[in-house]
Amino acid sequence: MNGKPGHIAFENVTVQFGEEIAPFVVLEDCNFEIESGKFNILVGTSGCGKTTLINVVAGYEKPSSGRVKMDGKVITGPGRDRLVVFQETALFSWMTVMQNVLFGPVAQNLDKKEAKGKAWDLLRRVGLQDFADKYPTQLSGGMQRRAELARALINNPKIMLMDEPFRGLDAMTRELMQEYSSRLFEELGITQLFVTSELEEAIFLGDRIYILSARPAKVVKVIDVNLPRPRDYSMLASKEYAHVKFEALEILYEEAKKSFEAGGMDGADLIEAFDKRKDQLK
Amino acid sequence: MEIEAGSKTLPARMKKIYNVHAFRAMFAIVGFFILWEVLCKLKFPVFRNIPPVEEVIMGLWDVIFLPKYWASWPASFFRIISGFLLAQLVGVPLGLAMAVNRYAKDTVFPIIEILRPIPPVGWIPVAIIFWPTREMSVIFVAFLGAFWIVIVNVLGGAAAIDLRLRRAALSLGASRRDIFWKIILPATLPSIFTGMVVGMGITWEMVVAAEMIAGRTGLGYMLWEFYLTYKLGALIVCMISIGIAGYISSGLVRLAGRKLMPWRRQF
Repeated sequence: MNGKPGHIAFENVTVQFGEEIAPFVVLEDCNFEIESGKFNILVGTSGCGKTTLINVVAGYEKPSSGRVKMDGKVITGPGRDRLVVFQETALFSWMTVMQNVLFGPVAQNLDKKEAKGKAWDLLRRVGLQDFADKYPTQLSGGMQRRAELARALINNPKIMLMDEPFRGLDAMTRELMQEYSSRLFEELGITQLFVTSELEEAIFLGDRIYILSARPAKVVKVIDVNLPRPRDYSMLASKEYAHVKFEALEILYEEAKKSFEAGGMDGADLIEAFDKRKDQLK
Repeated sequence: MEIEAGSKTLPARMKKIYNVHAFRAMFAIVGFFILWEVLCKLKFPVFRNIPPVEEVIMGLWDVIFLPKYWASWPASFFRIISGFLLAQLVGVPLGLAMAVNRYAKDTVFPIIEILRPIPPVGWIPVAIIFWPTREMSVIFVAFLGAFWIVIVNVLGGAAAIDLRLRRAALSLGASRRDIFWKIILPATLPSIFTGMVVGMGITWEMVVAAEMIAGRTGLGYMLWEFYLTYKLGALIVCMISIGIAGYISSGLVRLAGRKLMPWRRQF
């Protein structure tokens, strides 16, 4: 643990829904730690429990057993030190961009003038200074994401939790947002816990990739990404990139196959396709 | 909206579009009356007994000079506004209370769900017996009509609020009061206004029905009187008057909605 805030520790965390007799187990005896001050990526197939992981860190859901700690303190509920950017925009559509960004400081009764100054700074940084008095519905998807980032950053969180935030965006906007997130992290150094199902996104953005198994989710592999910062798209052609991608893909195929098999053997031909693809990799 | 090509400035373009729509509306209304006249004169099955357009125009002539007719407009409007406003003033807070407070919902909701299916028109006898004046009886029936609509829409709107919005607010440090006033209330406003627009229509239905049965003044009462005295032309004029009055009322509600919800582009 370095001196930076945002260290997260999962200690024997189990999250299950439903009755005792037939529970739906999402996480089971999950034990891992993520390093503060780094860009941490969680990668896994759909339905493996990545969103539940984020929800537990954010404090929206409580573990059925075990506990999650941030910087040594147990997480009991939502808080300003852990801010979330969701898959679909959670901006308040009845408030302007400026009002949205100011929501956190206003809720804390902080000095309005100072907060407004910070807000303008952040809006300039995310490039939305001309849209401060517009409503979220008047912004494009990429702009909405940037507004959400500003809304979160003004509260100086210790960790940013991002749950597939670029999912609905088109490829160009997505790449721009990835580059932007990279720069932002390199500039501000806030611990990131980023969930994605896109492996390329994970390698481009991350310092460390945690690969999750099929449900119930556990961390099956941790891969360090030894690409230099600031990140550049030319690195996608590097040897290190290919190496990380190969390592990750092998495991991901296994896990995808497992989650598919868990749903019955009806998809036998798809599982066959998985195996073929995996052999082609070698 | 038609896209007018060319370098016209926006106001000029809007004016042209407005005129096209207005022209079409006038054309349709005139066409409607022509069709009516033709069907009556050709003695089509149903249209044989319906007064043709010239009888309606003669009815209009009678009605314009009837002070009682003009007095019926404010009489009806008073009941509409009273019943409608009461329904909103009681219904919106009650609906919101049920949305946020489990205890309130568990106690009040069953009673509402048992009473709601009773059509307000069915309440008229009880209303006449229960309330001291006819006026209050009519307003009560109007109130009921709008009240159920308000409750249903408020509850539905509050339930439909995205869970992530609440979660985002909690993460940003919002208190319970903040969540109610800054998240739940604004997010439910569009549903509240839908309830108002629908409720306004229902209120008119209830007032007209109540006036026909129990009233001594008002547009609904006039309609019934013209029926009893077999003044069919005037009767049709009365019906059209009610339509116009309802249109004005709904228009006012929509205008209020546009002002109060600037973030909704179309309403």
